[in-house]
Amino acid sequence: MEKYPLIFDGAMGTMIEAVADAECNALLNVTRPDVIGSIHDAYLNAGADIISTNTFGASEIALADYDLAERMEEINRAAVSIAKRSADKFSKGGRRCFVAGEVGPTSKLPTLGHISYDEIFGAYQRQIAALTEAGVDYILIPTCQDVLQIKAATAVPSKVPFLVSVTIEKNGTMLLGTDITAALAAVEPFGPAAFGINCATGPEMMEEHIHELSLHSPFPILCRPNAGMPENVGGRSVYSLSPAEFASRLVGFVEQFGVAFVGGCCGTTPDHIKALSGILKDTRPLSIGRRVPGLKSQVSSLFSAVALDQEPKPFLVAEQTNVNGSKKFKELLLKDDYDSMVAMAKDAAKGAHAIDLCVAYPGRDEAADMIEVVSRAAKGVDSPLMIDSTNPKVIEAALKIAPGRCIINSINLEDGGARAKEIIDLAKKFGAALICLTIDEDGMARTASKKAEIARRIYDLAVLKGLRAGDLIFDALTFTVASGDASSKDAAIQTLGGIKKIKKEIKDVRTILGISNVSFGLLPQARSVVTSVFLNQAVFAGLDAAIVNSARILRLAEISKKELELATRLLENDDSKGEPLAALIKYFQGIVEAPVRRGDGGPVNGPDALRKKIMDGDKSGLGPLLEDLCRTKKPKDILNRILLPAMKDIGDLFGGGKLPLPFVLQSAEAMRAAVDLLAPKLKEGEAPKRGTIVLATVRGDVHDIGKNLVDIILSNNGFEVINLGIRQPVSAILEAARGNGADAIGLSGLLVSSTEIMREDLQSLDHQGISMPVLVGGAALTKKFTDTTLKKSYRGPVYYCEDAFAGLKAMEEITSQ
Amino acid sequence: MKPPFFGTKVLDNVGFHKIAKFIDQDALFASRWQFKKGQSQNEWRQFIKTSVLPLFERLITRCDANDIIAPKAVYGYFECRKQENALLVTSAGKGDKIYRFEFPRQRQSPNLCVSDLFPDGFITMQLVTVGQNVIEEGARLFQDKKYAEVFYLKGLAAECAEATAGYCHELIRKELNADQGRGCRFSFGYPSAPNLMEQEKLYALLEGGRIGVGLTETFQLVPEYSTSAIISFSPEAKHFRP
Repeated sequence: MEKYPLIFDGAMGTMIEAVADAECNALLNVTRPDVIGSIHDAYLNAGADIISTNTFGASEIALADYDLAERMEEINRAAVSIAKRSADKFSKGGRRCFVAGEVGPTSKLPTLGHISYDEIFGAYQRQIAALTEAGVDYILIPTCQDVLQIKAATAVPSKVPFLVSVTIEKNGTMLLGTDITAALAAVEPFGPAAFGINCATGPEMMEEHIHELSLHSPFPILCRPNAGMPENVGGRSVYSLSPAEFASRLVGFVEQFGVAFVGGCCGTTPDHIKALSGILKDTRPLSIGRRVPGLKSQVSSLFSAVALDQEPKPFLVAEQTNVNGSKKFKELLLKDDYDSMVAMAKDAAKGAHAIDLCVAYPGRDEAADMIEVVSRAAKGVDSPLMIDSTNPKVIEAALKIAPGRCIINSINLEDGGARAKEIIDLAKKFGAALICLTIDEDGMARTASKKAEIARRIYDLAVLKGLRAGDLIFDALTFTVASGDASSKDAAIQTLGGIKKIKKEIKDVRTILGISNVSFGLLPQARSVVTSVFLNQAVFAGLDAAIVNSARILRLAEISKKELELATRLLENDDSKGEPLAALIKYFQGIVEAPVRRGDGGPVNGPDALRKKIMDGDKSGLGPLLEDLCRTKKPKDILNRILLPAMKDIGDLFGGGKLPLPFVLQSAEAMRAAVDLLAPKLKEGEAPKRGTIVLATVRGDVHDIGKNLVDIILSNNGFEVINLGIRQPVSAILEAARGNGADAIGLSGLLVSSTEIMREDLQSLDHQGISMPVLVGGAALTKKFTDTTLKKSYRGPVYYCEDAFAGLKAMEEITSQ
Repeated sequence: MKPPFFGTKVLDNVGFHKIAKFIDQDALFASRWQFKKGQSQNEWRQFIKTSVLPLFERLITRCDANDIIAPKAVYGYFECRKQENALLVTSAGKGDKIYRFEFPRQRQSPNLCVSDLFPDGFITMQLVTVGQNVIEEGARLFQDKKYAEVFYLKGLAAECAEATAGYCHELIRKELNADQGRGCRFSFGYPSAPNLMEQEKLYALLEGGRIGVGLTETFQLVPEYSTSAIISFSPEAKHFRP
């Protein structure tokens, strides 16, 4: 209807301050309509196409600060009538001026619990009704700081289009850490007439965000900067950008990024708008409607957004945070240990694009539990949430506190659709994506055609109620192929068929699967293989998303030809080479993990538990355990007082002949994993830098077991190890030692001939005037040969290292000098 | 005793299953994997059964299925002549180059020397490898910080190289119609044939490059899990210290 770009007015507050000293600006609509009217006139005179009503602080929540809440309707109506009078005055001679009813954010942030969703939604609903009834052309929702607040405002049903504008602080995110794409993801389902940025900074700092929107936002872009960054002069905010500079920046945005609504925020005056319209009048109309952004369907956390279409597919949803799937998660719930549940969620989020949260446990208050978990996860986990419940009350409670764009899991037609309708309305109201299970009155769909038929029914229902195809994610259900039951032998085939049919017959919808069901009943190793092969097949059939523990998924490259063949035969129900299930089970019997000497029992928390994990070589659960310890201990102390002493004890046990080498290595793996987890938490300078050694197997020698063992032990103990590999000439070793500022060199070699090479190498180093300490070791090397021959060939110290722990001792001695 | 032919034969793809039964499990479990730490015989047997055998089965299945262990061999029969402590070996075919292998003789009685052990005028040599894949797999696992797994894999690879040598030896024994259990392998670098440099001649005779094996400056075989031997089928043949 309009010719873009449209010019908004500038600041209202700044103008009021200049002429009147009001305690409550909104009240001026009633007490001084002349002042407000003249400000509108000034902006219209300057060339504004849209003026915004003086109602930024006119919600009942904001007015309550002045005990004016009950006058909300009166104040808003008055404001609209003032603005409309001005707009009508200037709408002549082909010019049309519009009124946007402004709905401010209030000072209360629902994500932080300052105010409940219901309260803020109610306040918005009443203010928007007042503004709309009074005849505004747009509802403007500016200066948004909290995405949950935006969702509440945009959820209000409205006859007029609304314009949303968020405030991106100097640090590049909204007040609570939300980036512009995450804000876009949350607001996208509500289809604003424009989406953009206002306030906080001048135009220059908005550029990258406007650029981002120009690439990804399907909506016209709105941009209302301050007149530069505010500077504090004598207690007043002063804005330094001149009208000409301001205008030229914004016109640049219009030309470069196709910005459709431009105007000013704090510090801007009619002069700024005049400068703007002066340039734009000549250039209009610009072809900004031609911008074709790559619209991505996204979900989001409070902080960031994730595309539902992943490349490569699939979108992974972590299943570990589901009481039905995870014993550990369930036990934490039963202990009311919500913090640990969220720690688990954090962990699970690392290997996934979203996390599935399910807390339905018989006898407990599911809604209350969901609120406890979601309120913590919303602020603590940077991962979109999948709200997993069949109870509309629980889903609604979660959506009211989850700031980002969530996924609801799930609806079905088991009861004919009554419950589904309720949940569809929630998805619509909160802008969530929705998983739809192919279940109807007859139960779970088992054949491909039945799966597709139910999907079509749900689709029709959801679209009728206002959802878009892109909001829907169909779960074609999968059943185990490992039950031995004749009726489920083709379960995988039917599921893949269902996925293909749904994707082919219903445009723009997505599909998801709880993929590991397919291998239910098999041993863990076999499960991993069958599940992984099936996931691969499903993605090939068109699957977009999978609910899975990604730690249990193997890359195809990790699966042997034999395993792949057995799994494929089972999934494809191919009995040409005999019964496939029996063959697979037979194959995987006897394939078990490496021996572990994990004692049962013992402490599960605290320093002793960590020590035990290292001593036992048990890597499982190190993440949460360390997280937990970090709450009470400095990471540095965990390293120095728990981890390193444990490794020292391992060394002593090995040296005393009490511990086989493989177990030493398992402990080293656990130590490594713990150190890697701890490293990001160590402050600058705390990370142990005990010294550097260049390690090499000498020229002509191909053996590296011993040398690598030294590498493992030294690096676990905080030494930097430059491991050059096998067959290294002394020149390369010296170059690496110099280049890395090494404190020592380590020479290794298995055979007798290598001890001779060591002598030659030491001689060569000696001739070059090198005197840094050298560690030597190897099966054929003796202490005697070291003392009688090697030490005489070299001016620096030579340490004979019988094993890796002797190497550690030598390095400790060298670096402590 | 007569060789079936003079010259060499390459076994490019031995097949893991053929060498599997030559794997010396005791050597693998106790010394290569170093699990033996003073357990009683009973404890040891129990431990092997519950912990180590499953690991072994898992590893060999994986190594076989993914060709991580891919045994290859080359062996040959050559004319040879003793000259005191040396053997003069003639390459079969073009050029008939003569290679001189020197061996030490025991100073004390019975004054044994490897050169005495080839009375029939021919010598058998072999060179085997389990290939480069296991080296790469080991490096990948090391990168992934799966230290114990690397250790197991390398121990297994070393034992598989021995097993491949055992398999090749057995094949040769059959070709020679020698009695069961006959033949003694002498590898360079070990007490009876200590000079590793002699390996260069064996390598030249067998043209080891054909199975992807090379030699380093100090005459070690690359990739690591490769091994070579000369084999004597003389009834007197046995390992001894010089």
